[in-house]
Amino acid sequence: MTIDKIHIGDKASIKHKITDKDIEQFVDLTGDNNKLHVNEEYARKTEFKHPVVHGMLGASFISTVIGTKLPGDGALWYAQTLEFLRPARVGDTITVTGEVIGKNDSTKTVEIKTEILNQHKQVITTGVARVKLVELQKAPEIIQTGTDEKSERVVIILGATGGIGQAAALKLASEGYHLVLHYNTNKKLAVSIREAVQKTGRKAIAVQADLLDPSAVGSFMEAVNREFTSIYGFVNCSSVKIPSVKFTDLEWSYLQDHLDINIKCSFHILKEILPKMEVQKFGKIVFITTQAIETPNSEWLHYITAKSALHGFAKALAIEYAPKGIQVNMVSPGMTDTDLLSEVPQKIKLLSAAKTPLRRLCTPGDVANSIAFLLSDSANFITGETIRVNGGQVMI
Amino acid sequence: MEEKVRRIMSSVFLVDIEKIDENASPETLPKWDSLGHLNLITSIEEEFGITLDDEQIIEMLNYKLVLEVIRECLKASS
Amino acid sequence: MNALTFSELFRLNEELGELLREKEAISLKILSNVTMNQLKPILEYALRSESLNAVAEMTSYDNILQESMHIQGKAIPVVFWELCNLKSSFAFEIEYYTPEEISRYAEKTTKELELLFDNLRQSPLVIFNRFSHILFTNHTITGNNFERFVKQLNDFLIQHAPPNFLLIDLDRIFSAISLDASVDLRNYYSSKVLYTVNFLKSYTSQIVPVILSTYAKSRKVIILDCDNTLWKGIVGEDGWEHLAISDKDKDGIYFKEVQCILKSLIKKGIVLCLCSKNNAEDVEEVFQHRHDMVLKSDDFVIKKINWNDKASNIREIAGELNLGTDSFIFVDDSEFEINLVKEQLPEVKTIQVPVKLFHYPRMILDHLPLCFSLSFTNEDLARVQMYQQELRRTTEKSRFQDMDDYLASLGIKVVISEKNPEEMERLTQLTQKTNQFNLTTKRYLPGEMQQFYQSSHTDVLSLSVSDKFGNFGITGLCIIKYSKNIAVIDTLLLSCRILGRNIESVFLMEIVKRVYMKRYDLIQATYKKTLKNGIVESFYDKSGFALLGSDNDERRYETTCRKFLGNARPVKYIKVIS
Repeated sequence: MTIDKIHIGDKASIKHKITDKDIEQFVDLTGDNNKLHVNEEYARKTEFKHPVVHGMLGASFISTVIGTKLPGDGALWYAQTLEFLRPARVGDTITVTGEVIGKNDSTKTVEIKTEILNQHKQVITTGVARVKLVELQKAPEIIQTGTDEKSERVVIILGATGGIGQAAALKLASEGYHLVLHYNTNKKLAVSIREAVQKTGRKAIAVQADLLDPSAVGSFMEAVNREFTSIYGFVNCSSVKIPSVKFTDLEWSYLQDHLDINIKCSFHILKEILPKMEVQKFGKIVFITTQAIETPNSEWLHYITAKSALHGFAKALAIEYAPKGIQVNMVSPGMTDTDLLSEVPQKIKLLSAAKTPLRRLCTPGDVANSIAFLLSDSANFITGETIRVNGGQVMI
Repeated sequence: MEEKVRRIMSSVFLVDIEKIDENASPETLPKWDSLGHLNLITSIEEEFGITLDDEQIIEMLNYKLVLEVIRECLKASS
Repeated sequence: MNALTFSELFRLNEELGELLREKEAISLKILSNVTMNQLKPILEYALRSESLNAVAEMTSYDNILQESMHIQGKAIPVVFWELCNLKSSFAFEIEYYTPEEISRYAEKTTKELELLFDNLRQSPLVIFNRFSHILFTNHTITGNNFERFVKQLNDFLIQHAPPNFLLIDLDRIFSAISLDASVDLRNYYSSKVLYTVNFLKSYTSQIVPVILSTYAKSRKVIILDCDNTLWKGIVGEDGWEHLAISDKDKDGIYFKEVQCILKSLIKKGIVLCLCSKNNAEDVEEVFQHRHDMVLKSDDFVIKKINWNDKASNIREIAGELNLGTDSFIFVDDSEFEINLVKEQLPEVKTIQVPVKLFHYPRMILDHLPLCFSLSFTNEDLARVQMYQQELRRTTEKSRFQDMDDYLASLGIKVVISEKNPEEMERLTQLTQKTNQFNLTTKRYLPGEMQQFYQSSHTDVLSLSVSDKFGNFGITGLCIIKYSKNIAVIDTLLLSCRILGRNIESVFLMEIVKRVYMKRYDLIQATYKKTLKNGIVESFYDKSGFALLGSDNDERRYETTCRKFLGNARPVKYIKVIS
């Protein structure tokens, strides 16, 4: 951020819930194992009655606010005053807020009031930070138009830790795209995929977000925007487990889960992405649907309904955004050998493979190849289209 | 069990046992026609002491499925 | 054939077909109005295992009459004409037909049968099944239309079928193996496969002897072992007076009945011979003293009572009778002997005495069709005498094939273990029971064996033997006593069941190795002659021990471990586990 973008009154904050683990890690890191912080019995004999969280532990989140949000990358934090007014306890949720209270354009410094509140809105720590903005020698363009340089193309993959997501990540990295790897729970896998992508020489970040929570979309996009300035493509590979459930046993929640992951999640995130693409006048969006839309199987009503909805969603987007240079397409795989099918009996998989004209199940790689095609320049005149990757099971 | 199935298949389809690999199917084994299938079913029922129903007979579309259906049968009978 | 699974049979049939390819083909044509494809491999196999190059051909489905027009030459038609499938669901529809409709069907079928008779009149043999209604009537004791229809056509068949038609009664097979085991309605409704593999095997064993006899392939000689084959017991160990032969003794009745069956065969010109590993005098004693033997010494044309391997003996019998071994049946209780003969003389039909003896007489009966002969002449009856005369003229011929190859194919494993408490009882029992291969024949009581087990100056080694066919269990024992610097072999015995495989020399070598490992070198051993243990008289001489001296019935030997192990030739095909 540059100094001219900062105004007095700008605010930023983060929330954090303090856990036992935080204390443990803080002790490990600093060696401060003061019994007041770590020994229940000792603390009981003091006026505090229970252990108190290290004051600097809470205060260290000020660094996070300054370094990632206000002003963010390039902030040089050169002074800080602190006053610890109340003890914090394990289990408290603290809100760390920074508010710009002064700025000096010539020295490129800002003064930020820093405050930490607990969940009862009690101020537990207060102070003032002084920060200097270190600017890049050559400021990047804020918004790039769609670049022809493949090496600068950034693709967001939702659900990058799923079977198809992973395959897509590796395939797209090998084709030269930079990647945003979204994950929800499997951080370890996300990190290893990120590392694998980075090995190919491409840039990659792994960003956690529970996209069923609309508020998470904001921080997700923030993380993306901090790393990349333009978005070339968006691939939604996220899904939830598909239990086989008879209609009589089906509860609305099953449908809701599938509609949420396919529609709600795409809806909210595209609200953020499409405006950027519109400015770029360029963008490619790929959704994963399913062969089951065309040859449905029993007891998958929730899944098929949601994917059919996604099919409509994608076509509607395609027609609306085509004039703006944005393409929306779908890949429709047959039964694909991923974790998602872990509840499908082996026999059903084998039967499906045997009955497929090409005599095997679809692999994540097959789907990834079609995704790569739809993102590539070879597919520049294709929109609203579905590529069926099902070994010949459906031919239309 | 795999070995037994491979041996049976190599016998009734008259090929070396090495030919019965994971991908063995009516497409890779010329003798696996409808009559070969009958001989296969007869032998499997005899040697595993199981009785297959109509649907299972039809489901045995390739080597892997033969194994899978036998497993299912043995499980049901145990 | 019945012991084989269908898949094994299928493969073996193909292999036999390859082997016999050069031979003149015997053509069989299967004509049917139900799906009979599985009969082809079964029928071929049964004939090919009699070394006929049989080639069965399925003719087009439900086209009996037209196909019968094309049958020529020596081909043998096998016809399955199922009235239940005259048209789909016929056996059920006929129940509501009017008498006129039924007689129209009867008339049509008899016409067709007459045409079939004409078409096949020139064939050397036609296998044709009598019609059966039992599949569709066994639920009721009063007859129905289908039953009457079947009876009417059977009457016609019996009256009008040409003499070359052999009419097979399927109901006999149904009653032998049960209807449930004979038909598989699941396959009948899905693909018109009516009969099970079990049924086809039974059916085949009924018709094969007939086919064989038309090619002069019937069996003419039955060669029998003695112990536990002709009688229950081991004459060399139990003594002739303790054998079970008649219904007076437990288990004797089975052997008596087998002897009765064999006796009746002599009258039909079948030649009986003996081939037994025994002392000849012991066997003759049985014939002399056991008057409850149905078979007498003279009933056997040739007796090979010796310790040679049985395949060689059978070859000699063939030479002396001037007959091919493919006309022989060999009966023995030992799996080892049966397998040796199967391997070396595959053309010999072997019968192993069943473990459950009550099957034994029936098993012999089941094999009699192999001796079936269409033309029964005086020459057959005179055969026994003829062979006996021929015998005097022939000189002894001995051929010897490589036994080692056979033995190597068995995958023999011996396990030597030392003072295993679980074996003590069995080892004591072995000292009590073993007569023939027993060097000192010392009988020990459980208490004495216990002392050996506890003494640090005594080794008790047991020998267990198994091969690819099964496990013989504990079949050998050696007791070694150590004093100062001498190891003395107190007892060395092996059960007769495992002789003829060189296991004894492997065992001795292992014994010597053990002695040597204990840092002893000098070994002494004794042979003590008894009435029964002549077979091991020169065991130590042959094994390279030096004779120290002898008095009365005892011979004393000595060797050193180094010398013995230096000269020993390892038996490569036996795997030793200790």
